[in-house]
Amino acid sequence: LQNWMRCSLAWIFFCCCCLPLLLLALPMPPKRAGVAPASDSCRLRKINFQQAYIRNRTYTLAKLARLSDQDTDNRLIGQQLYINVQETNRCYVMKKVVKIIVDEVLLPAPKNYYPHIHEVAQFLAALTTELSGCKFSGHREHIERNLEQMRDKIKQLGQSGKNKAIGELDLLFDYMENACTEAPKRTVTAKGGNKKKN
Amino acid sequence: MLSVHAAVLLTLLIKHYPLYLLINLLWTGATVSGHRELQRLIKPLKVEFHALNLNSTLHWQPGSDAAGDITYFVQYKVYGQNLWKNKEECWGIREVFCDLTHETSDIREPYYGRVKSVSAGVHSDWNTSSRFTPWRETKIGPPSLKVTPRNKSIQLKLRAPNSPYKRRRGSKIPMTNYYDLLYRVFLISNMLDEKQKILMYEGTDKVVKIEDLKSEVSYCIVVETYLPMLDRSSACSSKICTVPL
Repeated sequence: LQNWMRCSLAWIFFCCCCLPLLLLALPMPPKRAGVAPASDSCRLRKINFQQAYIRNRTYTLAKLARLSDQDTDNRLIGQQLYINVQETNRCYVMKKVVKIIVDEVLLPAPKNYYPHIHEVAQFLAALTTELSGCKFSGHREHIERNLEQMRDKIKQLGQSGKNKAIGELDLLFDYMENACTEAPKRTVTAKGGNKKKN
Repeated sequence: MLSVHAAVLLTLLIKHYPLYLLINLLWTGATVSGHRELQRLIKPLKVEFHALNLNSTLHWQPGSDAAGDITYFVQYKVYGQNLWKNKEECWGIREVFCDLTHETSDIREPYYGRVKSVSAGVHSDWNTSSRFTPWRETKIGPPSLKVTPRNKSIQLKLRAPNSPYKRRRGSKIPMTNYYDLLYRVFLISNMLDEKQKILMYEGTDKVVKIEDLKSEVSYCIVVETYLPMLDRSSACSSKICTVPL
């Protein structure tokens, strides 16, 4: 009988103390997901980047613009855009960067001087549309500052700044891909071998 | 009156500027312009990266007047950095290429390389490559191919080329870790005409069997690597021929 008492006491203890704790703990995962909905809407399907046609168009256009860019010190699209930015917000940053480049550089650029520039602009604009639900989470001021610095640099360099931005469209393409699709192939772990199976 | 003045001036000039100094002045003037000329003539030409399977090498050509004793100096940097770094192994070399595989190992980043030459104490200007991103610009080699004849069929074993980079334990990382690549297998039906190749297989399998062949007839196989993402294919492997059993 005492044994039974002890057992039920243990159960009561468990029910009173542990269960509420468990119940408290359970809703945590969905809650956490609720805090950062960014990860879902800040996502592009890989297929967007798998068309060799637009990728090569973008690369070719960038290469053409680079012919008249001898400045190796100033760079617009680089890791500095991510300073103090959480990894989960990188896609949001790139969305904003693409929007700036499309609106302020690509659309006003002379069409006859840069072949296929509007085609590339349309492709990039479509990506930002697809990311319209992508919101940032956390501190906005870091993101804003990094974007402002990029904008300032383009302005400061004048016409050659705009040409530089076009010369970096290949980087823009790659950075967008990296930030918004799942992690691309990396220097490797053991899973490298069997990943290729189907 | 005027000629007397001129004579006095001349004697004064000679007194204060001895002849050897004048000659010296003219001489250095000549060598300076000679220097500039030489500087221009020995400047390395066509500085560019060549990369195969992510092995990235900077190449250049000697300047138009680069005969004799000439050495080269190589620097590199990531695009956007202010400072150039010396490549120690290529600092004062006689070769016209420099391996920068390790310096460009962050393969999605853009890099620059530059070269200057020195001849008879004269330094040329730097000549800078165009921007180079290994991931995008490397050529990819064909897979390695092993062929085994079977009963009225041929079995192939394919393996992607290795990258120069190593895992922590020392084994080389294959190119499949950096690219989604496909193998393409061609059958050359007529041994005389290599243009007549038939695509027999395209995919990622490492073992491929070509069936329904005639026995005791020689078949030749070539393979290549294809990158769908960049719509680019490798050179063909060398041809391997075999006779099904």
